[in-house]
Formats: sequence, structure tokens, C-alpha cells
Amino acid sequence: MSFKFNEDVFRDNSFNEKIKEKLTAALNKGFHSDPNSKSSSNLSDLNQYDIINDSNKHKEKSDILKSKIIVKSTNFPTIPKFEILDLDINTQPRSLVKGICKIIVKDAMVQLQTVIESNLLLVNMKNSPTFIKPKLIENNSLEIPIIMTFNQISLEAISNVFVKNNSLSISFNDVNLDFNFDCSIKILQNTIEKRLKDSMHLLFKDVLPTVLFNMSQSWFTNNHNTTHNINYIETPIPESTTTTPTKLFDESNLKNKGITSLPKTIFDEVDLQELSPKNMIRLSTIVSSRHTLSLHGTSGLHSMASIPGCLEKQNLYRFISRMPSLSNYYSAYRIPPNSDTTKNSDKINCINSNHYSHDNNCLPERVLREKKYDLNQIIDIQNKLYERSTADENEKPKRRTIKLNKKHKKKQENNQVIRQSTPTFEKFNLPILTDETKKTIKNENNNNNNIIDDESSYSKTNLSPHTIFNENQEYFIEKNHEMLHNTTIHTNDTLNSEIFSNNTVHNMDLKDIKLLSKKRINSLGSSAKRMSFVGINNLYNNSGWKWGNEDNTTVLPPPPYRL
Amino acid sequence: MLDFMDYVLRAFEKSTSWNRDNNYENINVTSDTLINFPIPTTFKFQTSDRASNNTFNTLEITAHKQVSGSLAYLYTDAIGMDKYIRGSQSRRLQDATDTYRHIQPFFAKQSQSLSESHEKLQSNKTSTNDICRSLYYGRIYYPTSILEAMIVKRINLHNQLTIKSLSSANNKLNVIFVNWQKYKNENLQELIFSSDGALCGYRFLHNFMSSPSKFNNALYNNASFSMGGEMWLGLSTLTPGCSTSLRYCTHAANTGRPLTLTLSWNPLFGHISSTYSARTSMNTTFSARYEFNLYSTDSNLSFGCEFWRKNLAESQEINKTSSKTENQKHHHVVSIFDETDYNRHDQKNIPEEQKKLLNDITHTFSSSLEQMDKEKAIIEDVEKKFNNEKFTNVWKMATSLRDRNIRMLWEGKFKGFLLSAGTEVFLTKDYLNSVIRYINQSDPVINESNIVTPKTPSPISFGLTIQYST
Repeated sequence: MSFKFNEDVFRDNSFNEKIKEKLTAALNKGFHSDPNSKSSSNLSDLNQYDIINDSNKHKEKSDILKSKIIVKSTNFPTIPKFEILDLDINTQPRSLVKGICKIIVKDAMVQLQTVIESNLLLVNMKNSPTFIKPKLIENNSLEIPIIMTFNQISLEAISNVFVKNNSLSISFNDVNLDFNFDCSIKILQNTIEKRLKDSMHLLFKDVLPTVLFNMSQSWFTNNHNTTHNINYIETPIPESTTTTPTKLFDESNLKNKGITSLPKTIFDEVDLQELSPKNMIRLSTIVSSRHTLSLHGTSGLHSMASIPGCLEKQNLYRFISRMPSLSNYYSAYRIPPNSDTTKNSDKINCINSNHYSHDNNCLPERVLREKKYDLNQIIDIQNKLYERSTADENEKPKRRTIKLNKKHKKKQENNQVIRQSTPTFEKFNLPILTDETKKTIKNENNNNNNIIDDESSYSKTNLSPHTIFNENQEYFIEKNHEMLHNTTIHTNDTLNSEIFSNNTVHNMDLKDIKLLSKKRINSLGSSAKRMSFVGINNLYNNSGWKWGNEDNTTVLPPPPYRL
Repeated sequence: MLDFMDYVLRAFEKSTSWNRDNNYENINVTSDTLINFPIPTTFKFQTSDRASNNTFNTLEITAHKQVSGSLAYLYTDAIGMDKYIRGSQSRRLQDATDTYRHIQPFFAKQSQSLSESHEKLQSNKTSTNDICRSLYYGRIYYPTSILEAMIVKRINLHNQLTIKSLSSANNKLNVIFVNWQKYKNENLQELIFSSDGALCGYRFLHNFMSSPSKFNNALYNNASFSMGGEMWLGLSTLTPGCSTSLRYCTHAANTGRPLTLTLSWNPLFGHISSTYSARTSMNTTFSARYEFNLYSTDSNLSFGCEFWRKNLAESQEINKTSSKTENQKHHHVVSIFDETDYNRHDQKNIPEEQKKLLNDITHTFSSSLEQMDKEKAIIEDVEKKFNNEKFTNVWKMATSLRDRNIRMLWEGKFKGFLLSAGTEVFLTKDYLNSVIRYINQSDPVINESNIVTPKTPSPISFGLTIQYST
């Protein structure tokens, strides 16, 4: 991504004409500016907003205004300076990009003209009902033209810019705005100036960031929505196409940063209301979706939520069902033609579907049998599950205590017995099963300096995914003990050799674990617990986030979506 | 057309001998009613009923896009309301609508009312209770469920208190309005408070010429001269307002027809307006108003007139009766002369010489006294004649040069119903735009190209009001 501050717009005088035109249009809300007309850049738009918001104050007392506000002249003699002081691209998860910039505008001039009603008593009494309105003699209106000149506007602001998933938030930290104010009615000059300067604080602290945030949000989500819809209409299977909106969205995201002229149109199109009607409607749909007691999803089958980036309660089971779990990921292997799951999928009922969410995190038998598993994927999935399942970070994983029930303690004590009876564990390269395998992993970690800290801490605290896996394995083992035993006996020798020779482990796992470690830095380095939604996750690199079967077009979607 | 409840309120003021012409807010009521008369904008049907001598109720139905209505109830304990309140069948049209206000000179009114009250006091000691009466009024509108309430309380001979309140559930608008009026020694002072914007006001009106004086050659003078002013301050918004006005009412010397001149000035906003209103004949009234702003040099000239009409068949009968009344009037000629002889019973105490002198004086001034009587007769004649006329309908028309509009209103009696129909026509598109702008005040900026301006003058408002009361 790159930024370009287009200074050329300011070089010729056309900019002044443009801003004059736009100011007039914006101040008189009745007129809608031509969407094709171009403004200059983000910065100039910001300037424009300053002024518009200044004069919005007058608009509140619209009764006083007797004519439209005419922008008599504007003058921006110098090119505004725009400095990027700091830019931090990799500041996930709070935002995609964090930047600190400095904006300097000097010697600008704006002159406004309007007609105001001077008889305020008349204005105030106009709306009161006649029954209690006292009759005043000679209480007629006196309209006075007023010209306000803002001279030598100099703005110096340091602002923090956060580009988030679907919004842009700007906070102004150090604003230094100064101007000379000249009013044609000298009596009002002091009060108007005082009020303007008082409101400036509020403007930069509150109004302007809110306006920009709402605007960016509505634009982002709107854009996102449309791409989504189009994609869903075009393709029947949403999972397979989720990558395309992601790409589009990324593009639009980039566009917004000033590469193309698109952001300019945002500022033109969106009105200046602090709460855009679109957002209000969106919020109200969120609220109304909370109100329903329906257990069925309201939105269509293919979409997780009617509002992107928002999870509705009644769609929770779908979300959970799409959570990466072993059963989801390898669900293709789980469906023998006459299996139970197809029956379940027929009933789209959340009570049934709860079944998917909790009980099914175990590898299908076929995967083991056919050796189609990918260890990194499994680790990743289990990590995610663990992240989500632990509410408290500091809580220690209960791996060791939960690991085996009393029944299984004996088994653990006799590792040899287990290993012999379940040779599939070696086959999976499950590092946790025995102390030895753990050591091997630690050795690997030592070899990879990058991962040391993460891995070591990880091994201490975050090992519970493995436990889950482990437990499931135990469960699995109990069930299919005999079968596994039978099937894997013949590979026993080779597996043993793989595990116990450190070299082979190194060769096999080094690059994989490197990858893994990166992902862990991304995911676990953020200490916050992650609640991930479909809409948001489109932005992340998909390779780390296997959702159900989204990449694998040959594999059927997770149970609720099976048709 | 006067609302029935306003009609009752005026009857209440008459019965308690409270002169509403002394209120500063009514100082230029004549020109207002002739130029800015209200025009109905909807179809409205109002039926009123006098349940007893003291209770009145009104049902009103308005049809404008949707049907709405109101129900009003009024109670007053004033005495002799039946004298003043008549059903729509027998009500005079002059009473049913606002027209030229004939301002009684202060002294005449004063002496009249005082003498009346003195008579009452003499005749009955509890007669102060006859004046200190109160009126209670309530009205609910549906479906907007706005509630209006009003209490008018005459505290004593000189003080009257009016409390109005309005409450609406929908708009969260709850307003209370208090008006305290004190009339004493030719001055009427008012204190007003309205909770709508915490508006406070003070008004006063002073009547000059407390005694009959002689101007030029007019021996009998019925002119009155009043001066008043008001000051307002909205406490919540600190918005001031003030104005001052002069009013001079007199009669044409020859014909005895009344005319009123007012001059008002708003010192804060430099607005000056002067009006001239006259009853030019028995059937016509005319008014002109010129407005000028000192600061913006805006000016406006407005005219208004009224044409009263009556059925020919009825008018002939009336002429006969009026001639009878004229004959009766001659009986109380030389009323002033009578007043000067108030102590006739002391005649015996007056010495012979003085008695002779007095007789001489009466003899020498008899011609002028007769002249005075004649003028007075003419003046009173005009007023009485107008009041006794049985008009069947009236046309009101007004126009304004700056606004370029024509306002027309027809009011009349038809088979016991009081009808009022009016329209307002604008002649230029500019004002049409400004009116539309006025209507759409929520959005002050209107693209002029968006407004479709009809080429032919079109009525902006048209309405009909039907009133029936028993």
C-alpha cells in the first residue's frame, strides 16, 4: 500500500473555486452537490469539514436564516502541508494501519454571506400556539444581511489515523486553529467569535472524528455488502467464494488510502449527519435481531448474518459450526453415504446443531485410516479452539489434570503399553503424548531461535488444544481401539524410527513449525481473546484460518449447509 | 367570524363592564380587522349550545386532509349573560364578526360605567359581586389531544386576572400564561408572563382628555386620545421587544362618522406604521396602513374595506323603526345641560340674582347648546344606526402592495347559520415563493427553480366556516 498526497490540486486556483462551490452546496443542505465533481484530497476535505461544521452551528437556528448561505470567496494561497510522522502497518488487532500525521494549513480565507432575522422575539414566538401567544404590536421582522470573513485561518493539527477492518477513525491530538474573524455586524462579532472558538474544541474532539468514522464505516460496510451480495448471487456455495470479497475489500481498502480518487467521492456523497440513516437502520436491525426469541436463523442460509461483521444470536450455532474444528475440517471424511450426520443436517435446528459445536471435535476415523491429516492444520485448529475456550488468559491449561481419567492413569503410567496398543499416535507425530516427544519439540524450538519464547510459553500455558485433541484421541482410542490396532500394526516400525530419530523430525517439521510459529505470533501475540466473525476474518490471511472447508472446493460444506 | 367562545368572552366583559378597547394590544385592532382579517383555511363546522344561562359548550369539526375537532366547555357566573348572548338566528352580524371598533371616549365611558356601577352600588350593596365574576373555559382537541384552559377572574372593580394554559401530550408543550390587568385612573397596566420561553411583558395604555374639552368650532367633542407602550423580554433567550403607539379617535364634524388614526413605532427594529380607518358611510368601512422601516427602508402600503349589505325588504322595515328611534332620541337632547343642573333641588337656596344670571346664560348659549346637541345627536345617530341595522352579509377585501395579494372574505347569515368563506390570491410569483418559503420554514433554503410557479394567480388558501348556535 502506498500513500500519495496530491499537491497539484492546490497549485492552480481551481481549488479555491472548487471549495467555494462545495461549501455553498454543503452549507445549503437543500442542494445536493454533483457526485461527479471532484474535490482535491483527503486533506482538503478535512478543511472543508472544519468550515462546514463551523457554520452548521448557524444552521441549527435555521429560523433566523432568511436566505441561503452564500460563500462569497475562498482563498487558500498556500499548499497545505501533510506530513506522515509515523506509520505502523502491523498493529493488529486494533487496526490494520496506524498512522500519525501532521496537517498544516496557512493563510486561508473564507467569506460567508447570509441574511438573518434580527427580531428574535418574532422567531421565538412564531411556533407557539395562538391560544397562548400574546399579541404584540409592531413585532415585525427586520432582515439584516450579514457578512462573515474568516481571515488568516491557520490550522495545525496532529492526528492519529487508525484504519480498522471496516472503518477509519481519526483522533485529533494537538489542534491549533487560529483565525481572524470579521463580522459586518459589529455587535455580534465578539459573541460569534467566542462561540466559534468554544465549539472548535468540541468539533475536533468529538464531532469531526465521529463524522469521519461514521462516514468511513458506512462506506466500507456498504461497499462490502454489495460485493458480498453479488458474490452470493453468483455462486451457490458461499464458502468457496469468500475469498473474492476479501480481495475486493482489500482493494477498496487500499483505494481509500488515497491511491485512487474513490475516497473523494465518499466525502461528497455522504451527508454530514453525525448518525447517517444507513447506520441507524443497521443499528436498529441489530437491536431488532436481538429482540427476537427465534432460535432459527433469520437470514438466508448462506449468510452468517444479515449485517456483515455482526453475529446474531440466533445464528450463533452456525458460527460455531463454522468454527474450525477437527470434525469440520475433515468433514468430508466423516460422511460415509449413510452416516448420521446427514440426517442431522436435514433438520436445521439449533438444538440439534449444538451437537456439532461441542461434541464433535475429533478426527474422523477415515482420516486416520487414509493418512489425510495435516499436523499443522490440526495444531492450528486446536490452538484456535483453545484461544476461544479460555476466558481467562492467566488460567493455566488443565492439560495435565484433565488429560486422563482415573481409568487412563494407568495407561499413562505405562507409556509403552499405550504406544504399542495405539501406534497411530506416533504416526500423527503428536508431541504431547509422551515426555520424549515433548522434548523433541523443545529441541526443535531451541534450534529455531525465533520461536523460543513463544513456544516455551506456549508449552507452559497454551497447551490445552493438544489436550483437547488428546482427550478426543483417548475417546477415539477407546472406541476404535481394535480397529486402529489392526490397521496400523504394519506401519509401526517406520513410525518408531521417525519419532525417535531427531534428525528426521527436524527435517520434516522445521519449515512447518516456522510457519506455525509465525501464525502463533499473529494469533497468540495478541493477548486479547479473539472473537472472529466471518466478515472480519476475510481480511486476514486465509491460510492461517481454515474455516470449515472454504478452500477445498471438493469438500462439502459443514453440516448446516449441506444440501 | 368570531368563535362562539370568543363571543361569550366578550359578553362576559360587557356584563362586567370591562372595556377591552383599553387594552394596549387592541390599540390598532380596527385596522387589523380591516386588513389582516383571518381567512378560514379549512372546512369547519361549529355548533354551539347554551345549556343554561351560565354554561356553554361548543363542538367543532374541522376537515382538512383529515377530520379533527374540538370540544369546548365554558362556565361563567356573570349576571345577565342572556342579555348579550343570542343564538345564530337572532345574532346581529355586527356582533358575530370583528369590524370597525367605535372607541368610546374615556370620559364618556368612564362616566357611563361609573354611574352604572354607582347606581348599582346605591341600589344594591352586594353589587360589587355583580362585577367580580369569573369565567372558566376548557377545550380539548382531538385527535391531537391538546388541552386549552382559561380562567378569567375579575378580582375587583379595577383588576382582572387571566390565566391561560395549554397542554399537549404529543409535543410535550405545556405553557401557562398569566395576564394581570389593572385599570385605574385612565391607565390600564398589564403584566404578562408566559412560560413559553419565560416571556415577561409589561403593557400600559393611558387615555388623555379625561374631561370633555372643546376643540376649534366643534362644540361637542367626542374624540379620544390614547398612548401606550409595551416591553417584552424573553428570559430564556434574552430576546427583547418593545413598541409604543398613539391612537386618536374622532368624528367627522359634519357627518358625524367616526375615524381612527394610529401611529406605532418599534424603537428596537425601527418599524413605523400608521393607519387611518374610517366608516365612510353606513355600509362601508375603509382602512389604509402604511408601514416603513427606518433601518432597512422597507415599506408597505395596505388597504382594506368592508361592504355591509342587507336585504331590501328588511331594510325598509328597519328604516321605519329607526325613524322611530330617532324621534325618541330627541327626548334626551341637552343631556349635558341636564347634568349641569344636577343640583336642581337646591334651587331654593340660590338667590334671585344668581338665578336670573343663570337664566340669562342659558338663554345666550342656547343656540350653541342646541348646536352641540345637534352634533352629538348626529354622532350618536351614526353609531346607533349602524348597530341597529340588520345586515345580512358583509364583504371584506384587503390588498397589500408589497405582498401583492388580494384577500377576500364573505360572511353572512343564511337560514340561521353563520357562514364565513374566504380566499387569498397572490398576484406575483415572488410572493408566492416567499409564502411557500414561509410555509416550509423548516427548510429555509429553497431552490427557486424547484418551485413551480403558476402563471395565473391561484388561491393559496380557501376555507369555509359554518356556525350554528342556539
